[in-house]
Amino acid sequence: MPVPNPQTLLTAEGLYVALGGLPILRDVSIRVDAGEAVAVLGPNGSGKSTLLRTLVGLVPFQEGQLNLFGTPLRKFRSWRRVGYVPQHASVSVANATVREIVASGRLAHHRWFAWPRRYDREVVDQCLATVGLSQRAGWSFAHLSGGQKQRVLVARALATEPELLVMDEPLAGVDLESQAALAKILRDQRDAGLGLALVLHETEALAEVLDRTVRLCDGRIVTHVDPPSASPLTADPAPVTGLQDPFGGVS
Amino acid sequence: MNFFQYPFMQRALLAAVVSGLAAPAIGMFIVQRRLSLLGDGLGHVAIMGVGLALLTGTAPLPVAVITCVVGAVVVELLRQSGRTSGDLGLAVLFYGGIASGVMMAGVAGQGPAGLSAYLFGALTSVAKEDLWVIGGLAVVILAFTIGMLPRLFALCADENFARVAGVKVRWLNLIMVALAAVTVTISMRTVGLLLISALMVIPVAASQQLFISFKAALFGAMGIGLLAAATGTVGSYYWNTATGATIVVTAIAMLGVATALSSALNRRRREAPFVPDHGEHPHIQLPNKPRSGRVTVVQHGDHLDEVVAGRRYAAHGDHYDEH
Repeated sequence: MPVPNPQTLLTAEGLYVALGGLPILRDVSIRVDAGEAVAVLGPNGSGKSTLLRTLVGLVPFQEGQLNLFGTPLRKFRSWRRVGYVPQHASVSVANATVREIVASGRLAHHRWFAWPRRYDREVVDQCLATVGLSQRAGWSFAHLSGGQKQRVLVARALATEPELLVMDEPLAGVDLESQAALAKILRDQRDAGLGLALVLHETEALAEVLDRTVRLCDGRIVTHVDPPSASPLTADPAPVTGLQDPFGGVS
Repeated sequence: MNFFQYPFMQRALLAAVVSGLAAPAIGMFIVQRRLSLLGDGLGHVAIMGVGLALLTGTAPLPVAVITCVVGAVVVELLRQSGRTSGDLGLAVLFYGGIASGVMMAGVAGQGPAGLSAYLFGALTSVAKEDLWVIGGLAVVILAFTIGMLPRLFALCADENFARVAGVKVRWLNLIMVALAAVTVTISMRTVGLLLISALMVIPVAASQQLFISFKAALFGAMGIGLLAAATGTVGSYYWNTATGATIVVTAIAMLGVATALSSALNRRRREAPFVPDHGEHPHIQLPNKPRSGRVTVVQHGDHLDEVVAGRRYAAHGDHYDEH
Protein backbone atom coordinates (compact mmCIF):
# COMPACT_ATOMS: atom_id res chain seq x y z
CA MET A 1 0.00 0.00 0.00
CA PRO A 2 1.34 3.44 -0.87
CA VAL A 3 2.25 5.80 1.94
CA PRO A 4 -0.82 7.91 2.58
CA ASN A 5 -0.43 11.43 1.43
CA PRO A 6 -1.51 13.89 4.14
CA GLN A 7 -3.95 15.34 1.65
CA THR A 8 -5.52 11.99 0.90
CA LEU A 9 -9.01 11.89 2.36
CA LEU A 10 -10.17 8.51 1.26
CA THR A 11 -8.47 5.38 -0.02
CA ALA A 12 -10.09 2.10 -0.92
CA GLU A 13 -7.99 -0.86 -2.03
CA GLY A 14 -9.36 -4.01 -3.58
CA LEU A 15 -12.89 -3.71 -2.20
CA TYR A 16 -15.04 -6.78 -2.57
CA VAL A 17 -18.71 -6.39 -1.69
CA ALA A 18 -21.37 -9.06 -1.91
CA LEU A 19 -25.00 -8.51 -1.00
CA GLY A 20 -27.03 -11.61 -0.28
CA GLY A 21 -24.21 -13.77 -1.64
CA LEU A 22 -24.21 -11.91 -4.94
CA PRO A 23 -20.95 -10.11 -5.73
CA ILE A 24 -21.65 -6.45 -6.47
CA LEU A 25 -18.14 -4.97 -6.38
CA ARG A 26 -14.91 -6.80 -7.24
CA ASP A 27 -11.42 -5.49 -6.61
CA VAL A 28 -12.41 -1.83 -6.65
CA SER A 29 -9.82 0.76 -5.67
CA ILE A 30 -10.40 4.47 -5.47
CA ARG A 31 -8.66 7.45 -3.93
CA VAL A 32 -9.93 10.96 -3.23
CA ASP A 33 -7.57 13.79 -2.32
CA ALA A 34 -8.36 17.16 -0.82
CA GLY A 35 -9.40 19.71 -3.44
CA GLU A 36 -10.30 17.23 -6.15
CA ALA A 37 -13.57 15.91 -7.48
CA VAL A 38 -13.72 12.24 -8.41
CA ALA A 39 -16.77 10.91 -10.24
CA VAL A 40 -17.83 7.28 -10.38
CA LEU A 41 -19.68 6.58 -13.61
CA GLY A 42 -21.34 3.52 -14.96
CA PRO A 43 -24.57 2.07 -16.25
CA ASN A 44 -27.46 1.11 -14.01
CA GLY A 45 -26.61 -1.94 -11.95
CA SER A 46 -22.86 -1.43 -12.32
CA GLY A 47 -22.49 -1.10 -8.56
CA LYS A 48 -21.67 2.59 -8.41
CA SER A 49 -24.23 3.46 -5.75
CA THR A 50 -23.18 0.43 -3.72
CA LEU A 51 -19.58 1.63 -3.95
CA LEU A 52 -20.57 5.04 -2.62
CA ARG A 53 -22.58 3.54 0.21
CA THR A 54 -19.65 1.27 1.04
CA LEU A 55 -17.33 4.26 1.23
CA VAL A 56 -19.43 5.87 3.97
CA GLY A 57 -19.92 2.63 5.88
CA LEU A 58 -23.56 1.96 5.00
CA VAL A 59 -22.74 -1.28 3.18
CA PRO A 60 -20.23 -3.72 4.70
CA PHE A 61 -17.36 -4.95 2.54
CA GLN A 62 -15.96 -8.46 2.75
CA GLU A 63 -12.45 -7.94 1.39
CA GLY A 64 -10.10 -5.05 0.87
CA GLN A 65 -9.12 -1.98 2.81
CA LEU A 66 -10.96 1.26 3.28
CA ASN A 67 -9.39 4.24 5.01
CA LEU A 68 -11.04 7.55 5.78
CA PHE A 69 -8.54 10.28 6.69
CA GLY A 70 -5.94 7.59 7.19
CA THR A 71 -8.05 5.63 9.67
CA PRO A 72 -9.52 2.23 8.83
CA LEU A 73 -13.30 2.51 8.51
CA ARG A 74 -13.77 0.12 11.44
CA LYS A 75 -12.09 2.58 13.79
CA PHE A 76 -13.22 5.78 12.11
CA ARG A 77 -15.28 7.98 14.41
CA SER A 78 -14.85 11.58 13.25
CA TRP A 79 -17.86 11.59 10.97
CA ARG A 80 -17.99 15.36 11.22
CA ARG A 81 -15.31 15.37 8.52
CA VAL A 82 -17.60 13.61 6.06
CA GLY A 83 -20.65 15.15 4.38
CA TYR A 84 -23.03 12.69 2.81
CA VAL A 85 -25.61 13.61 0.19
CA PRO A 86 -27.94 10.70 -0.52
CA GLN A 87 -30.54 10.76 -3.27
CA HIS A 88 -33.28 13.12 -2.19
CA ALA A 89 -35.87 10.35 -2.14
CA SER A 90 -34.12 9.02 0.96
CA VAL A 91 -35.67 11.77 3.06
CA SER A 92 -39.08 10.58 4.14
CA VAL A 93 -40.65 12.65 6.85
CA ALA A 94 -44.10 14.19 6.82
CA ASN A 95 -43.26 17.20 8.96
CA ALA A 96 -39.98 18.96 8.36
CA THR A 97 -39.00 22.46 7.36
CA VAL A 98 -36.07 23.09 5.05
CA ARG A 99 -34.21 24.59 8.00
CA GLU A 100 -34.78 21.53 10.17
CA ILE A 101 -33.37 19.24 7.48
CA VAL A 102 -30.28 21.41 7.02
CA ALA A 103 -29.83 21.74 10.79
CA SER A 104 -29.60 17.96 11.13
CA GLY A 105 -26.28 18.29 9.30
CA ARG A 106 -24.83 19.69 12.54
CA LEU A 107 -25.50 16.45 14.41
CA ALA A 108 -22.05 15.00 13.99
CA HIS A 109 -20.73 17.89 16.07
CA HIS A 110 -22.99 17.19 19.02
CA ARG A 111 -23.20 14.71 21.82
CA TRP A 112 -26.39 13.09 23.07
CA PHE A 113 -28.93 15.48 24.59
CA ALA A 114 -27.34 18.51 22.94
CA TRP A 115 -29.52 21.11 21.28
CA PRO A 116 -28.25 23.47 18.57
CA ARG A 117 -26.39 26.60 19.68
CA ARG A 118 -25.98 29.97 18.09
CA TYR A 119 -22.96 28.94 16.03
CA ASP A 120 -24.95 26.00 14.64
CA ARG A 121 -27.75 28.34 13.57
CA GLU A 122 -25.26 30.65 11.88
CA VAL A 123 -23.73 27.77 9.93
CA VAL A 124 -27.21 26.63 8.88
CA ASP A 125 -28.03 30.17 7.69
CA GLN A 126 -24.79 30.27 5.71
CA CYS A 127 -25.44 26.92 4.08
CA LEU A 128 -28.99 27.88 3.14
CA ALA A 129 -27.60 31.04 1.54
CA THR A 130 -24.92 29.04 -0.29
CA VAL A 131 -27.55 26.93 -2.03
CA GLY A 132 -29.83 29.92 -2.56
CA LEU A 133 -32.69 28.74 -0.39
CA SER A 134 -32.60 31.27 2.44
CA GLN A 135 -36.10 32.37 1.57
CA ARG A 136 -37.44 28.84 1.76
CA ALA A 137 -36.07 28.09 5.22
CA GLY A 138 -39.53 27.84 6.77
CA TRP A 139 -41.07 25.86 3.92
CA SER A 140 -42.10 22.27 4.14
CA PHE A 141 -39.39 20.06 2.61
CA ALA A 142 -42.08 17.88 1.05
CA HIS A 143 -43.40 20.81 -1.02
CA LEU A 144 -40.12 21.57 -2.78
CA SER A 145 -39.22 20.59 -6.33
CA GLY A 146 -36.69 17.82 -6.95
CA GLY A 147 -33.94 20.32 -7.69
CA GLN A 148 -34.65 22.31 -4.55
CA LYS A 149 -34.70 19.17 -2.43
CA GLN A 150 -31.30 18.21 -3.81
CA ARG A 151 -29.95 21.64 -2.91
CA VAL A 152 -31.34 21.25 0.61
CA LEU A 153 -29.47 17.96 1.00
CA VAL A 154 -26.28 19.59 -0.27
CA ALA A 155 -26.80 22.35 2.30
CA ARG A 156 -27.30 19.71 5.01
CA ALA A 157 -24.03 18.02 4.08
CA LEU A 158 -22.22 21.39 3.99
CA ALA A 159 -23.63 22.21 7.43
CA THR A 160 -21.48 19.37 8.73
CA GLU A 161 -18.50 21.53 7.65
CA PRO A 162 -16.96 18.47 6.04
CA GLU A 163 -13.61 17.94 4.39
CA LEU A 164 -14.96 15.19 2.18
CA LEU A 165 -18.27 15.37 0.38
CA VAL A 166 -19.78 12.09 -0.80
CA MET A 167 -22.74 12.43 -3.16
CA ASP A 168 -25.07 9.89 -4.68
CA GLU A 169 -26.38 11.03 -8.09
CA PRO A 170 -26.73 14.68 -7.13
CA LEU A 171 -28.20 15.51 -10.53
CA ALA A 172 -30.90 12.85 -10.67
CA GLY A 173 -34.29 14.45 -11.21
CA VAL A 174 -32.83 17.95 -11.08
CA ASP A 175 -33.91 20.61 -13.59
CA LEU A 176 -31.28 22.29 -15.77
CA GLU A 177 -31.28 25.52 -13.82
CA SER A 178 -30.65 23.75 -10.52
CA GLN A 179 -27.97 21.62 -12.23
CA ALA A 180 -26.07 24.77 -13.11
CA ALA A 181 -26.53 26.09 -9.57
CA LEU A 182 -25.28 22.81 -8.10
CA ALA A 183 -22.28 22.76 -10.42
CA LYS A 184 -21.28 26.21 -9.21
CA ILE A 185 -21.73 25.25 -5.55
CA LEU A 186 -19.64 22.11 -5.99
CA ARG A 187 -16.91 23.96 -7.87
CA ASP A 188 -16.70 26.56 -5.12
CA GLN A 189 -16.51 23.87 -2.46
CA ARG A 190 -13.84 21.97 -4.33
CA ASP A 191 -11.83 25.12 -4.86
CA ALA A 192 -12.13 25.76 -1.12
CA GLY A 193 -10.30 22.48 -0.59
CA LEU A 194 -13.02 19.91 -0.13
CA GLY A 195 -12.61 16.48 -1.63
CA LEU A 196 -15.63 15.35 -3.64
CA ALA A 197 -16.64 11.79 -4.44
CA LEU A 198 -19.71 11.63 -6.65
CA VAL A 199 -21.72 8.96 -8.33
CA LEU A 200 -23.04 10.28 -11.64
CA HIS A 201 -25.10 9.04 -14.51
CA GLU A 202 -23.78 11.61 -16.94
CA THR A 203 -20.96 14.07 -16.53
CA GLU A 204 -22.13 16.84 -18.81
CA ALA A 205 -23.45 19.33 -16.28
CA LEU A 206 -20.48 18.82 -13.97
CA ALA A 207 -17.79 18.39 -16.62
CA GLU A 208 -15.80 21.41 -15.52
CA VAL A 209 -15.92 20.43 -11.87
CA LEU A 210 -14.57 16.91 -12.23
CA ASP A 211 -10.87 16.17 -11.92
CA ARG A 212 -11.00 12.43 -12.42
CA THR A 213 -13.59 9.88 -13.41
CA VAL A 214 -13.72 6.20 -12.60
CA ARG A 215 -15.92 4.02 -14.77
CA LEU A 216 -17.52 0.96 -13.23
CA CYS A 217 -18.96 -1.87 -15.23
CA ASP A 218 -20.36 -5.02 -13.68
CA GLY A 219 -18.72 -4.23 -10.36
CA ARG A 220 -15.22 -3.67 -11.72
CA ILE A 221 -13.33 -0.57 -12.64
CA VAL A 222 -12.95 -0.50 -16.40
CA THR A 223 -11.30 2.86 -17.01
CA HIS A 224 -9.61 5.44 -14.93
CA VAL A 225 -9.55 8.78 -16.67
CA ASP A 226 -7.25 11.50 -15.45
CA PRO A 227 -8.25 15.02 -16.29
CA PRO A 228 -6.86 17.01 -19.14
CA SER A 229 -4.06 18.79 -17.31
CA ALA A 230 -4.79 21.96 -19.25
CA SER A 231 -7.94 22.53 -17.23
CA PRO A 232 -7.53 25.92 -15.57
CA LEU A 233 -9.54 24.72 -12.61
CA THR A 234 -7.11 22.00 -11.68
CA ALA A 235 -3.93 23.94 -12.38
CA ASP A 236 -3.96 25.64 -9.02
CA PRO A 237 -5.06 23.26 -6.31
CA ALA A 238 -6.45 24.87 -3.21
CA PRO A 239 -4.17 24.95 -0.18
CA VAL A 240 -4.87 22.41 2.52
CA THR A 241 -5.11 25.03 5.23
CA GLY A 242 -8.57 26.41 5.73
CA LEU A 243 -10.17 23.02 5.19
CA GLN A 244 -11.78 23.12 8.57
CA ASP A 245 -13.85 26.15 7.81
CA PRO A 246 -15.30 26.32 4.31
CA PHE A 247 -17.29 29.38 5.32
CA GLY A 248 -14.29 31.31 6.58
CA GLY A 249 -15.38 34.12 8.84
CA VAL A 250 -18.43 32.43 10.30
CA SER A 251 -16.61 31.56 13.45
CA MET B 1 -67.54 20.99 39.81
CA ASN B 2 -66.80 18.86 42.79
CA PHE B 3 -65.11 15.89 41.19
CA PHE B 4 -61.71 17.28 42.16
CA GLN B 5 -62.58 16.57 45.79
CA TYR B 6 -62.30 12.83 45.26
CA PRO B 7 -58.71 11.67 45.68
CA PHE B 8 -59.25 8.86 43.14
CA MET B 9 -60.34 11.48 40.62
CA GLN B 10 -57.29 13.63 41.28
CA ARG B 11 -55.05 10.61 40.78
CA ALA B 12 -56.86 9.55 37.62
CA LEU B 13 -56.68 13.03 36.14
CA LEU B 14 -52.98 13.34 36.95
CA ALA B 15 -52.20 9.92 35.48
CA ALA B 16 -54.25 10.63 32.36
CA VAL B 17 -52.59 14.00 31.80
CA VAL B 18 -49.17 12.38 32.11
CA SER B 19 -50.16 9.75 29.54
CA GLY B 20 -51.62 12.44 27.32
CA LEU B 21 -48.21 14.14 27.23
CA ALA B 22 -45.98 11.08 27.01
CA ALA B 23 -47.91 8.96 24.51
CA PRO B 24 -47.90 11.48 21.63
CA ALA B 25 -44.26 12.39 22.38
CA ILE B 26 -43.21 8.79 21.74
CA GLY B 27 -45.93 8.44 19.12
CA MET B 28 -44.42 11.19 16.97
CA PHE B 29 -41.34 9.05 16.35
CA ILE B 30 -43.27 5.80 16.11
CA VAL B 31 -45.55 7.29 13.43
CA GLN B 32 -42.68 8.81 11.45
CA ARG B 33 -40.89 5.46 11.55
CA ARG B 34 -44.07 3.84 10.19
CA LEU B 35 -44.52 1.67 13.27
CA SER B 36 -47.99 2.97 14.12
CA LEU B 37 -49.29 -0.41 15.22
CA LEU B 38 -46.32 -1.19 17.46
CA GLY B 39 -48.11 0.32 20.47
CA ASP B 40 -51.04 -1.98 19.91
CA GLY B 41 -48.82 -5.05 19.87
CA LEU B 42 -46.96 -3.91 22.97
CA GLY B 43 -50.32 -3.49 24.71
CA HIS B 44 -50.95 -7.18 24.08
CA VAL B 45 -47.59 -8.09 25.60
CA ALA B 46 -48.36 -5.95 28.66
CA ILE B 47 -51.49 -8.04 29.27
CA MET B 48 -49.16 -10.97 29.85
CA GLY B 49 -47.45 -8.89 32.53
CA VAL B 50 -50.78 -8.10 34.19
CA GLY B 51 -51.72 -11.80 34.15
CA LEU B 52 -48.34 -12.68 35.64
CA ALA B 53 -48.82 -10.11 38.42
CA LEU B 54 -52.32 -11.40 39.22
CA LEU B 55 -51.01 -14.95 39.31
CA THR B 56 -48.11 -14.14 41.62
CA GLY B 57 -50.08 -11.64 43.69
CA THR B 58 -47.67 -8.75 43.04
CA ALA B 59 -48.36 -5.17 41.99
CA PRO B 60 -49.45 -5.20 38.32
CA LEU B 61 -47.74 -1.99 37.16
CA PRO B 62 -44.06 -2.86 37.77
CA VAL B 63 -44.49 -6.42 36.48
CA ALA B 64 -46.28 -5.15 33.36
CA VAL B 65 -43.57 -2.53 32.75
CA ILE B 66 -40.81 -5.12 32.92
CA THR B 67 -42.65 -7.71 30.81
CA CYS B 68 -43.55 -5.16 28.16
CA VAL B 69 -40.04 -3.68 27.94
CA VAL B 70 -38.53 -7.16 27.57
CA GLY B 71 -41.12 -7.95 24.87
CA ALA B 72 -40.37 -4.69 23.07
CA VAL B 73 -36.62 -5.28 23.10
CA VAL B 74 -37.13 -8.80 21.72
CA VAL B 75 -39.36 -7.44 18.95
CA GLU B 76 -36.83 -4.74 18.01
CA LEU B 77 -33.88 -7.15 18.04
CA LEU B 78 -35.84 -9.51 15.81
CA ARG B 79 -36.66 -6.63 13.48
CA GLN B 80 -33.04 -5.44 13.36
CA SER B 81 -31.78 -8.90 12.57
CA GLY B 82 -34.28 -9.02 9.70
CA ARG B 83 -35.68 -12.34 10.82
CA THR B 84 -39.32 -11.32 11.20
CA SER B 85 -40.28 -11.99 7.62
CA GLY B 86 -44.02 -11.71 7.12
CA ASP B 87 -44.51 -10.29 10.61
CA LEU B 88 -45.13 -13.84 11.79
CA GLY B 89 -42.77 -13.53 14.73
CA LEU B 90 -44.51 -10.37 15.88
CA ALA B 91 -47.94 -11.96 15.58
CA VAL B 92 -46.91 -14.95 17.67
CA LEU B 93 -45.40 -12.71 20.33
CA PHE B 94 -48.38 -10.35 20.48
CA TYR B 95 -51.14 -12.95 20.47
CA GLY B 96 -49.13 -15.22 22.72
CA GLY B 97 -48.95 -12.25 25.09
CA ILE B 98 -52.68 -11.60 25.26
CA ALA B 99 -53.61 -15.30 25.36
CA SER B 100 -51.19 -16.19 28.14
CA GLY B 101 -52.19 -13.04 30.06
CA VAL B 102 -55.89 -13.93 29.99
CA MET B 103 -55.06 -17.53 30.92
CA MET B 104 -52.92 -16.55 33.89
CA ALA B 105 -55.59 -14.11 35.08
CA GLY B 106 -58.10 -16.98 34.86
CA VAL B 107 -55.89 -19.30 36.88
CA ALA B 108 -55.56 -16.52 39.47
CA GLY B 109 -59.34 -16.50 39.76
CA GLN B 110 -59.96 -13.33 37.73
CA GLY B 111 -61.95 -13.78 34.55
CA PRO B 112 -61.75 -11.49 31.53
CA ALA B 113 -63.97 -9.07 33.49
CA GLY B 114 -61.17 -8.55 35.99
CA LEU B 115 -58.89 -7.56 33.12
CA SER B 116 -61.26 -5.11 31.52
CA ALA B 117 -60.14 -2.23 33.75
CA TYR B 118 -56.65 -2.71 32.30
CA LEU B 119 -57.89 -3.01 28.74
CA PHE B 120 -60.06 0.10 28.56
CA GLY B 121 -59.04 2.15 31.59
CA ALA B 122 -60.97 2.82 34.79
CA LEU B 123 -61.05 5.96 36.91
CA THR B 124 -60.95 4.23 40.25
CA SER B 125 -58.00 2.00 39.53
CA VAL B 126 -55.08 4.43 39.87
CA ALA B 127 -53.42 3.65 43.21
CA LYS B 128 -51.28 6.15 45.08
CA GLU B 129 -48.09 4.12 44.71
CA ASP B 130 -48.80 3.75 40.97
CA LEU B 131 -48.78 7.51 40.62
CA TRP B 132 -45.12 7.74 41.66
CA VAL B 133 -44.08 5.07 39.18
CA ILE B 134 -46.15 6.67 36.42
CA GLY B 135 -44.78 10.14 37.15
CA GLY B 136 -41.18 8.99 37.35
CA LEU B 137 -41.30 7.00 34.12
CA ALA B 138 -43.10 9.82 32.30
CA VAL B 139 -40.30 12.21 33.25
CA VAL B 140 -37.79 9.76 31.73
CA ILE B 141 -39.85 9.50 28.53
CA LEU B 142 -40.25 13.25 28.12
CA ALA B 143 -36.62 14.01 28.99
CA PHE B 144 -35.46 11.54 26.37
CA THR B 145 -37.82 12.53 23.56
CA ILE B 146 -37.32 16.27 23.99
CA GLY B 147 -33.64 16.15 24.92
CA MET B 148 -32.75 13.90 22.02
CA LEU B 149 -35.01 15.71 19.57
CA PRO B 150 -32.27 16.68 17.07
CA ARG B 151 -30.98 13.12 16.87
CA LEU B 152 -34.41 11.51 16.80
CA PHE B 153 -35.49 13.91 14.07
CA ALA B 154 -32.48 13.05 11.94
CA LEU B 155 -33.22 9.36 12.42
CA CYS B 156 -36.87 9.82 11.41
CA ALA B 157 -36.07 12.03 8.43
CA ASP B 158 -33.24 10.05 6.87
CA GLU B 159 -31.81 6.99 8.57
CA ASN B 160 -28.87 6.61 6.18
CA PHE B 161 -27.77 10.18 6.70
CA ALA B 162 -28.10 9.74 10.46
CA ARG B 163 -25.81 6.69 10.29
CA VAL B 164 -23.17 8.59 8.35
CA ALA B 165 -23.45 11.44 10.85
CA GLY B 166 -22.37 8.93 13.48
CA VAL B 167 -25.78 8.45 15.14
CA LYS B 168 -26.02 5.11 16.93
CA VAL B 169 -29.14 4.13 15.04
CA ARG B 170 -29.55 0.67 16.55
CA TRP B 171 -29.28 1.95 20.10
CA LEU B 172 -31.70 4.79 19.47
CA ASN B 173 -34.25 2.46 17.91
CA LEU B 174 -33.94 0.08 20.83
CA ILE B 175 -34.40 2.84 23.40
CA MET B 176 -37.37 4.29 21.51
CA VAL B 177 -39.15 0.95 21.40
CA ALA B 178 -38.41 0.28 25.08
CA LEU B 179 -39.80 3.72 25.97
CA ALA B 180 -42.87 2.99 23.85
CA ALA B 181 -43.37 -0.11 25.98
CA VAL B 182 -43.06 1.97 29.16
CA THR B 183 -45.60 4.47 27.78
CA VAL B 184 -48.05 1.68 27.03
CA THR B 185 -47.83 0.24 30.53
CA ILE B 186 -47.99 3.47 32.50
CA SER B 187 -51.15 4.33 30.56
CA MET B 188 -52.93 1.03 31.24
CA ARG B 189 -54.87 2.32 34.24
CA THR B 190 -56.24 5.36 32.49
CA VAL B 191 -56.31 4.79 28.72
CA GLY B 192 -56.12 1.02 28.80
CA LEU B 193 -53.88 -1.44 27.01
CA LEU B 194 -56.14 -1.92 24.00
CA LEU B 195 -56.57 1.78 23.36
CA ILE B 196 -53.24 3.35 24.31
CA SER B 197 -51.94 2.96 20.77
CA ALA B 198 -54.67 5.39 19.69
CA LEU B 199 -53.36 8.05 22.07
CA MET B 200 -49.88 7.56 20.57
CA VAL B 201 -51.09 7.95 17.00
CA ILE B 202 -54.20 10.14 16.79
CA PRO B 203 -52.87 13.36 18.41
CA VAL B 204 -49.83 13.05 16.13
CA ALA B 205 -52.06 12.68 13.07
CA ALA B 206 -54.02 15.76 14.15
CA SER B 207 -50.90 17.82 14.84
CA GLN B 208 -49.26 16.83 11.55
CA GLN B 209 -52.13 18.49 9.73
CA LEU B 210 -51.68 21.77 11.56
CA PHE B 211 -47.91 22.29 11.69
CA ILE B 212 -45.16 22.32 9.10
CA SER B 213 -42.09 21.81 11.26
CA PHE B 214 -41.26 18.63 13.14
CA LYS B 215 -40.66 20.42 16.41
CA ALA B 216 -43.99 22.26 16.25
CA ALA B 217 -45.78 19.04 15.30
CA LEU B 218 -44.21 17.24 18.29
CA PHE B 219 -45.24 19.86 20.83
CA GLY B 220 -48.61 20.30 19.12
CA ALA B 221 -49.26 16.56 19.43
CA MET B 222 -48.37 16.69 23.11
CA GLY B 223 -50.79 19.59 23.59
CA ILE B 224 -53.59 17.79 21.76
CA GLY B 225 -52.88 14.60 23.74
CA LEU B 226 -52.98 16.51 27.01
CA LEU B 227 -56.27 18.17 26.11
CA ALA B 228 -57.85 14.91 24.95
CA ALA B 229 -56.71 13.07 28.10
CA ALA B 230 -58.00 15.75 30.48
CA THR B 231 -61.32 16.19 28.65
CA GLY B 232 -61.83 12.46 28.30
CA THR B 233 -61.12 11.78 31.99
CA VAL B 234 -63.56 14.42 33.19
CA GLY B 235 -66.10 13.25 30.60
CA SER B 236 -65.85 9.67 31.77
CA TYR B 237 -66.70 10.84 35.29
CA TYR B 238 -69.91 12.52 34.14
CA TRP B 239 -71.01 9.91 31.62
CA ASN B 240 -69.85 6.97 33.71
CA THR B 241 -67.94 5.53 30.75
CA ALA B 242 -64.59 3.76 30.43
CA THR B 243 -61.88 6.42 30.71
CA GLY B 244 -59.73 5.18 27.84
CA ALA B 245 -62.63 4.94 25.44
CA THR B 246 -63.74 8.48 26.27
CA ILE B 247 -60.20 9.85 25.86
CA VAL B 248 -59.79 8.19 22.47
CA VAL B 249 -63.19 9.34 21.19
CA THR B 250 -62.27 12.89 22.27
CA ALA B 251 -58.94 12.62 20.45
CA ILE B 252 -60.68 11.45 17.27
CA ALA B 253 -63.05 14.41 17.48
CA MET B 254 -59.98 16.68 17.74
CA LEU B 255 -58.48 15.00 14.69
CA GLY B 256 -61.66 15.87 12.81
CA VAL B 257 -61.40 19.50 13.87
CA ALA B 258 -57.70 19.61 12.95
CA THR B 259 -58.40 18.17 9.49
CA ALA B 260 -61.09 20.77 8.84
CA LEU B 261 -58.80 23.54 10.12
CA SER B 262 -55.82 22.43 8.07
CA SER B 263 -57.66 22.43 4.77
CA ALA B 264 -58.70 26.02 5.47
CA LEU B 265 -55.14 26.90 6.55
CA ASN B 266 -53.46 25.26 3.57
CA ARG B 267 -55.64 27.00 1.07
CA ARG B 268 -54.29 30.28 2.38
CA ARG B 269 -50.76 29.09 3.06
CA ARG B 270 -49.77 27.28 -0.09
CA GLU B 271 -50.79 29.46 -2.99
CA ALA B 272 -48.34 32.29 -3.63
CA PRO B 273 -49.36 34.32 -6.70
CA PHE B 274 -46.94 33.80 -9.57
CA VAL B 275 -45.37 36.72 -11.44
CA PRO B 276 -43.18 35.83 -14.45
CA ASP B 277 -39.62 37.08 -14.33
CA HIS B 278 -39.23 40.26 -16.38
CA GLY B 279 -35.47 40.42 -16.70
CA GLU B 280 -33.37 43.24 -15.27
CA HIS B 281 -34.36 44.68 -11.94
CA PRO B 282 -33.55 48.09 -10.64
CA HIS B 283 -30.71 47.61 -8.22
CA ILE B 284 -31.84 49.86 -5.44
CA GLN B 285 -29.81 48.88 -2.44
CA LEU B 286 -31.88 49.06 0.66
CA PRO B 287 -30.27 47.98 3.89
CA ASN B 288 -33.61 46.53 4.91
CA LYS B 289 -36.95 46.16 3.30
CA PRO B 290 -39.44 48.75 4.54
CA ARG B 291 -41.04 47.42 7.66
CA SER B 292 -44.34 49.24 7.50
CA GLY B 293 -47.44 47.61 6.10
CA ARG B 294 -48.59 44.08 5.63
CA VAL B 295 -46.08 41.73 4.02
CA THR B 296 -47.28 39.19 1.49
CA VAL B 297 -45.20 36.85 -0.63
CA VAL B 298 -45.41 36.29 -4.37
CA GLN B 299 -43.52 33.81 -6.50
CA HIS B 300 -41.47 35.90 -8.95
CA GLY B 301 -39.75 33.78 -11.56
CA ASP B 302 -37.42 31.52 -9.63
CA HIS B 303 -37.52 33.37 -6.32
CA LEU B 304 -39.87 34.91 -3.82
CA ASP B 305 -40.65 38.61 -3.59
CA GLU B 306 -42.03 40.22 -0.51
CA VAL B 307 -44.76 42.72 -1.24
CA VAL B 308 -44.86 45.71 1.12
CA ALA B 309 -47.20 48.59 0.44
CA GLY B 310 -47.62 47.72 -3.24
CA ARG B 311 -43.87 47.42 -3.97
CA ARG B 312 -42.00 44.14 -4.42
CA TYR B 313 -38.67 43.49 -2.75
CA ALA B 314 -36.36 40.52 -3.00
CA ALA B 315 -33.40 39.65 -0.79
CA HIS B 316 -30.12 39.93 -2.69
CA GLY B 317 -27.06 39.05 -0.63
CA ASP B 318 -26.83 41.60 2.17
CA HIS B 319 -29.46 44.00 0.80
CA TYR B 320 -32.87 44.11 -0.86
CA ASP B 321 -33.61 44.85 -4.51
CA GLU B 322 -36.82 46.46 -5.64
CA HIS B 323 -38.44 44.26 -8.27
